[in-house]
Amino acid sequence: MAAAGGKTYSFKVVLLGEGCVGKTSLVLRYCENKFNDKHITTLQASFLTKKLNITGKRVNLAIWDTAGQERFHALGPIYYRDSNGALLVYDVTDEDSFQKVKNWVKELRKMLGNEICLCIVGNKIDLEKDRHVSVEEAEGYAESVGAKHYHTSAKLNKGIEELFLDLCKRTLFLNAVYTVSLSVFHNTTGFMINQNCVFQSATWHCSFTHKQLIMFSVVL
Amino acid sequence: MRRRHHFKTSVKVRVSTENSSPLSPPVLPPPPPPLLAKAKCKARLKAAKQMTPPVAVQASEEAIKKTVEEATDYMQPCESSQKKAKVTSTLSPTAEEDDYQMPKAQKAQPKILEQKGQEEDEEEEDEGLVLEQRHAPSLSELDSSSSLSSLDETESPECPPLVGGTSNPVMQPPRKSMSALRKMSAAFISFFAPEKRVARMVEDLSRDRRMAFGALVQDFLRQQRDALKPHCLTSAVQLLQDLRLFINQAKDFLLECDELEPPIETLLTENEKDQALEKAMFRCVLKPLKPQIDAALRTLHKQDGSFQRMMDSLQRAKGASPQKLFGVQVGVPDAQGIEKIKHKLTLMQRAYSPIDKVLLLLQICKLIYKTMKNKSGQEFGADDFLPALSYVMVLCNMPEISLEVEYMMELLESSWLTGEGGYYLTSVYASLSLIQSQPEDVPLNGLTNQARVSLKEWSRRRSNETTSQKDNKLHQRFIKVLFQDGDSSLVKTLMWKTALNGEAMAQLCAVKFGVDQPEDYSLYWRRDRVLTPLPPNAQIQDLQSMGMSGVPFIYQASSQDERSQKLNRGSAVDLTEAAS
Repeated sequence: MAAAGGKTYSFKVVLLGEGCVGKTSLVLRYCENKFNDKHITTLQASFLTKKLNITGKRVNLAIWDTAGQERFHALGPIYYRDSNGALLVYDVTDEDSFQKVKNWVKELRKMLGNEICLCIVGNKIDLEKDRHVSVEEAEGYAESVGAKHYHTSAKLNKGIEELFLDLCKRTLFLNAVYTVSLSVFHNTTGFMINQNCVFQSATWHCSFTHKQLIMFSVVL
Repeated sequence: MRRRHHFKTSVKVRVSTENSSPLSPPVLPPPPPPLLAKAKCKARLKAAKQMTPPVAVQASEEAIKKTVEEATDYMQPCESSQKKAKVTSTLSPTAEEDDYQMPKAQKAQPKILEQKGQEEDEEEEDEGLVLEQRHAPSLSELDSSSSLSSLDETESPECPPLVGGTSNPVMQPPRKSMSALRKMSAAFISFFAPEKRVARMVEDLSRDRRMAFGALVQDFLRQQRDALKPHCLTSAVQLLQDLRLFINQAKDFLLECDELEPPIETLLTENEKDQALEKAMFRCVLKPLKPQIDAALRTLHKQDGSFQRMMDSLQRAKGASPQKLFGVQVGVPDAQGIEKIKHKLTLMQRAYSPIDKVLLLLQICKLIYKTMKNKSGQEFGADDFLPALSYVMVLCNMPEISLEVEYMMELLESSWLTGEGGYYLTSVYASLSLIQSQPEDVPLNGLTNQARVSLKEWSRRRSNETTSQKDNKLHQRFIKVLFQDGDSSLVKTLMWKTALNGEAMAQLCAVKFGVDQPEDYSLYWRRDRVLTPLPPNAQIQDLQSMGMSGVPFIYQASSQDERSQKLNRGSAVDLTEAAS
C-alpha cells in the first residue's frame, strides 16, 4: 500500500463557541460512532482523539474543547495556540452565538494569521423551523474570511463525519502548502508565495502530490 | 493473508527478544501455570547467569519463589511482556494501517479494512496509540493505583550505584506500607520490564565517569549544582530550558555513542525507545538535581513576587464563594475529595519526572470528573470541567501548583504537550490564570498582559525547539576523544560546534588533555578500520555524512602513528605543519 512508509500527521483542533451550542455533543457524536465506542463511557469529552486515513496519509486528530461561557473568553489563547484547525460552532437558532463566532474569527486571524484552518459550523439544523441565522448570511460570511461553512446536527448525526473529514483534508493541504512555501522561501531568497492568494483561490483537495504542489506554488 | 503477516511479525519479534535479552519472558505463549513457570524461569535465569550480576539473579530468584505462591502476582510480568508483543506488532505497516479509520467516501476502494469483527485490533490501537504518540495514557486507563516510577521506586538493593561519590541527596518519598511479598514481586516486575531495565542501564552508565556518557552527565550535574546556587540564578524559564536542552543533547549522544550494552534496539521497539530514554534521562539528570531545582524555582518566584500574587489570588477567590465565581453547575468534590486531591498534588511536588507529574494531574482530573458525574450520567465538556477545576484549585489552596505547571510545561517533550496530558495541563494553566485575573479585569481581557506575553514567548520557544532540534544536531555535536599517551589513555567528551574545523578541534584537544607540545600530537579517526588523520579543514557535518557516529576520535602523538599507519604518514605530517 502506498501509505506503508508514509508519515503520520498530528493535528490539533480547537473547539470554540458559546456554551450550549452543542460543541460537546458534536465531538462526542463524532468520536463515539467509531472505534472508540467501547471506551466512551469512561472517556471525557473535553479532550478526544481520532485517527483517520486520508488517501494513505495517517492523521491523528486531537480535539480540544474550550469553555464557552463569557467569563472564560479571555482564556482562549491558552487553548488555541499552536492549533492547526478551529471549529467555530454556533446554534442556528441563536443569532447571538453567531456573533460570538465572528468575534472568534477576528481574534484567531489576528493572533494566528492564515496558518489555521477555520470551519464555521451551524449546529442544531434539526431545529430548522426555529432558524435565526440565514444560510446565505452564514455562508457568505465564511467565504469572506477564508473559512468554510458546514451545517450539522449532533442530534441526528448529520454532517459531522463530513465536517471532520473535510477539516482534515484542508489541514493536510494547508500543511503541505506551508511546507512548500517555506522551502521555496528558503531555496530562492526573496520569493514567497502570497499566502492569502493560496488561501482563497485554492480548491480544497488533498490529492495533490508533493511535486504537483511545488509546481502549483511556483505558478502562484 | 493478514493473519499470516501478523504471524511473521510476531515470530520476528520473538526471535530478536530471545537472542538479545535472555532475561525477557517469552513473548507469545500465555502465562504458564505457576509450577511450570518456575522451572522455565529458572532455566532461563541459569542461562542468563553469566550476563548479569549475581546479586540481581539471586534477588529475582527469590522473587520467583515468592511469587509462585501467589499466582496473580506472577501473571503481571507476563502480562506486560504480552503488551509489548502487541505493541510491537503494530509496527508492521499493515497492522498499523488497520488502526486508521478510512473516510466513508473511500470505502469502495480495495484494500480497505472491514470495520466489523476487529475487536482485537481495537485493543491494539489503544495501546499502540499511547506509546506511539508518546502521549499520556488517557484518563480511562488511569486510576489512582497506577504506579509512577519516580515515586514508588525504591533504591533496589540488587543494583548499587557504580560511583558512590555523586552525592545524590534524593528525598525518599514515604512509601505506602507494602508487604514484603509485594515488594519482591515489584522488584521482579521491574527486573523484567524492558523500559525499567533501560532506565537502570542508562542511570548506571551516567554515573560512570570512565564512560563518555557518564562524563558528559556528571560534568553537567556538577556545573548545574553551581548554577543553581541562589546567587547565580537568573530566571526560572532559563533554568528549566537549560535542563531540557541538555536532556535532548544527551539523548542524542547516548544513541550515537554505542555505550549501552546491550544496545537499546534489542530491548525496545522504535516507538517505545524515545519514551524510555526520556524517562531514563529524567532519572539521571532531574532526580539528582531535584532539591536544588525546587529550591531555585521557589527562590525565583518569591523574588519576582509571583508566588505571593498567586497566594493572594487564591485567598481572594476563596473568600468570594468560588462556586458562584466560576459558575459551577456540576457536582464538586466534598472536603474528603479535596483532601484526596491535595494528597495527589503533594505527591506531584515530590516527583522529579515531569511525566509522572502529568500522570498525577490526569488522576486528579479523573477524580474531578467522577464527582461531576454524581448528578447525572452525561458526558462533560470543557464548559463544565473548567469551572469545576478552578473551584478545586481554589479549595486546594496550594500556590505551589503554579511552579509545578511551569516545570511540566518547560520540561515535557512537545509530543506530550499536544496529547491528553497537554490538554489538562493547559486547563490547569488556564484556571490558574483565571483565578489570578479575578475579579477586577474579568471582562474580555481577563488574561493579564503578563500572562499573554509569557504564553506567546513560551509558544514560540517550544515550537522553535521542535523545528530546530534536527538542525541542532548539525550545529553542535558531542564527540568522544580517546587520548593515548604512552601507556596511559583517557577518554573525554568534547563539544564540536559547526564553526570549528579539524584543526581547531585538535587545538581544543591539546588544551583539554593538557598537552605541552601540541605540534607533536594530532587527531585521528577510524575509517574502515584504518586510523586516518583528521584533515585540518574537516567539519563536523562532513564527518557525519561519512558515517562517523559513535566511533571515538583518537588524539595521540603523531609519531605513534607510524607503526600503525605508514600510508597516511604524509598527511599526518601535513596536519602538524598546518597546525603549527
